[in-house]
Amino acid sequence: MALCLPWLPAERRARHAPQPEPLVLVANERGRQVIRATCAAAAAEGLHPGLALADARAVLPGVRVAPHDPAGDAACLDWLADGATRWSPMVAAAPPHGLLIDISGCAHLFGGEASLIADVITRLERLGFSARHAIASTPAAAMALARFGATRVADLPLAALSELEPVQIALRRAGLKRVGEVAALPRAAVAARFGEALLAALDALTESAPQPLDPRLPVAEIVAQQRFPQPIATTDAVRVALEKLLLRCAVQLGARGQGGRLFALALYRADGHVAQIRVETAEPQRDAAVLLRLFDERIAALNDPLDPGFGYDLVRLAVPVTQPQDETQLGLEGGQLAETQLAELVDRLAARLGRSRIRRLARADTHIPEKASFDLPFAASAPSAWPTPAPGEPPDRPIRLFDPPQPIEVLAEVPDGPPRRFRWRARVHDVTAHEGPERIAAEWWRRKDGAGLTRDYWRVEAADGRRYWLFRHGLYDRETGAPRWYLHGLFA
Amino acid sequence: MTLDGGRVDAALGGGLALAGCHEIYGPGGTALALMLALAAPRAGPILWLADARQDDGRIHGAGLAELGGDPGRLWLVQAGGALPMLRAAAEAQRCAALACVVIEAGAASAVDLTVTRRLQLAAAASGLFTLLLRAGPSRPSAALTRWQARAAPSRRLAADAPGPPRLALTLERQRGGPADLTLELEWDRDRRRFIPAAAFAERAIPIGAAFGRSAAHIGALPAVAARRTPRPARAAA
Repeated sequence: MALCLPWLPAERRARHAPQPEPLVLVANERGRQVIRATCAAAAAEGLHPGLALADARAVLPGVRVAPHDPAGDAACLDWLADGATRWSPMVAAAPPHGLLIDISGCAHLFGGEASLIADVITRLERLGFSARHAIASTPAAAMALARFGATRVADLPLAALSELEPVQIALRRAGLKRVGEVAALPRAAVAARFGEALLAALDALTESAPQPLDPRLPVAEIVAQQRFPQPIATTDAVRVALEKLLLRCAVQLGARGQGGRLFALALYRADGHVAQIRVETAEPQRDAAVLLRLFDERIAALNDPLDPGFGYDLVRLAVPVTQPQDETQLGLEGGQLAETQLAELVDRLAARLGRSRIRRLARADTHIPEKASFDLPFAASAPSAWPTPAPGEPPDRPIRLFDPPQPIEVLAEVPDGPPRRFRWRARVHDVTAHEGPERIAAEWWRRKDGAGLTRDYWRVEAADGRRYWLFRHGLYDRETGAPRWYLHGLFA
Repeated sequence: MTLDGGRVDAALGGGLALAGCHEIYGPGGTALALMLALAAPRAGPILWLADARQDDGRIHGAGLAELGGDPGRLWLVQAGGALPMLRAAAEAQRCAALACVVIEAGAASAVDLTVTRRLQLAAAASGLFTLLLRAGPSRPSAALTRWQARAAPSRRLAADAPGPPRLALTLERQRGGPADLTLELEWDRDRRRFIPAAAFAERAIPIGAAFGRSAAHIGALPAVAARRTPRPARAAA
């Protein structure tokens, strides 16, 4: 089924504030203003996209003008496409003004095609959009029928075959007026005279071979949904519905021996808006109680709380990503295993804060301190092996590391000697003890020019007892005349 | 958990209570929190909750390994705000498989008396060791204890090198117990415990001839190893 919303840009503006009619939406094109979209009333007066605004004013002096916003129109179309998933999971937006819904096997759920169409058109009208619809066996044919308001593919005008003006002129000069007439010609002759592209367009319109839609939202295998004749408007009611849907999905998952990694809850508001809430888990999961808690976390952490408005009339839970999940073994002494508890904690924190906010320290095989240790998102990292320090020695790496290192002013007795005094954060620290230098060369093999300054690290203790990690950037006299000093880290 | 095995432990009623929330502030706060978490007897991950902003640098994995901990045990959570951080803390405090929760609250004004009481109650209920790192001492709090942690001058090793980390702690407050006690602790990395600094006072440090320090981590640069100041090993404890 295809829906064509020819007046979408104008009607979208009218949804937010009543617009004076007739209205045209214009954009600048090579220094002049050209109509990009019109409202129904303006179209009835003969104004059409592509007309210069000056010409339109000559035809209709009272026309109102507003700027055209294609990005907003595309977002509105996507919003409508999300809402249309209430009728079928396979929905695709067909810019600029079309929606394609695959209703194979869905119509009977709404009492047949006629009442499905009535439902679609009523809902769109309630939103303030007028749409032309058509049902055909292929998406291209349905779209063309809806656009040109024809009933049969053979009756479609030539514009349905090609948007290009020269091709249309060539077809007209050959005496062809309708798609049916072109289809009656021998294929080889059409291809030779008008090009392969026209033949492909013709095939898309006339052939009944399946042409898959590219759905806007991934289609899940496991779906549970609940319709409400009376829309539900409270969060508690949503929660009860969600619990039932989770249990139904858990049964389906259990029967397949699978667990879900991603759960998508869609709340269809009666006025067409769809709220999407997604929960991701680290391990395959099908425990309804655990999942309900994750959804609770997610809903509690939403920036804009759920706004039921006039209520939700359809709640759907889909599991787009599944993985095999074995039955879990419980600990011998009862209770959950520690790993399970930790995995659930990570999931709950991830549901609340986002998966990338939970991090683990990882080690890299390099001598450059700021590159040797970094934190990675929990999900993306495996624990890395760390070297065991030599026993009986004080720590030679700081607990806190500054990245980038903080520039400091240092007083040293000789330019390549140990620091005696340094100034950091507007305070002067006297060095009472030091150890070093630990020399770390730049990674010349990674750099194209093979250059880079050597760092001489000093572990120093200041008069206040605090231990600092300083380095001199560049070897005096050999690499640089005036090496700079940096504070790189803080020990205990 | 014992700290100095003497006066302070007695004042704390037999050591630092593990099932409770303790407050730490001062420049040695990060170090003390990590050391306490490592010294705590429970195995399991250490959950470190932080606000997004970190003006004292980030925690360095190699440095944590040098304190004797496994950096893989440290799970960092960047909450991105005081309220999400506290909610995450409440969530974490219910998880019995963690070893310790550290909440790096900084100067967050959201952490008030009510919040600390909630943290303390949750810690007491679940038995999870909870540490609250703060920027200053001024705010009211319902935590079991409040510590000021500063770095203390360390023992000198040979060639005037700074020794193992030492912290000067002040027990500023204790709920239902004596307070205003000071102690100086040295961190024993190899046994993951504190040694009171007083234990070293009577012992002189002999200048030995054994070169204990490994140069393995700078093995790629042999010329450097030769330039390093040789230093004898610490006296056997």
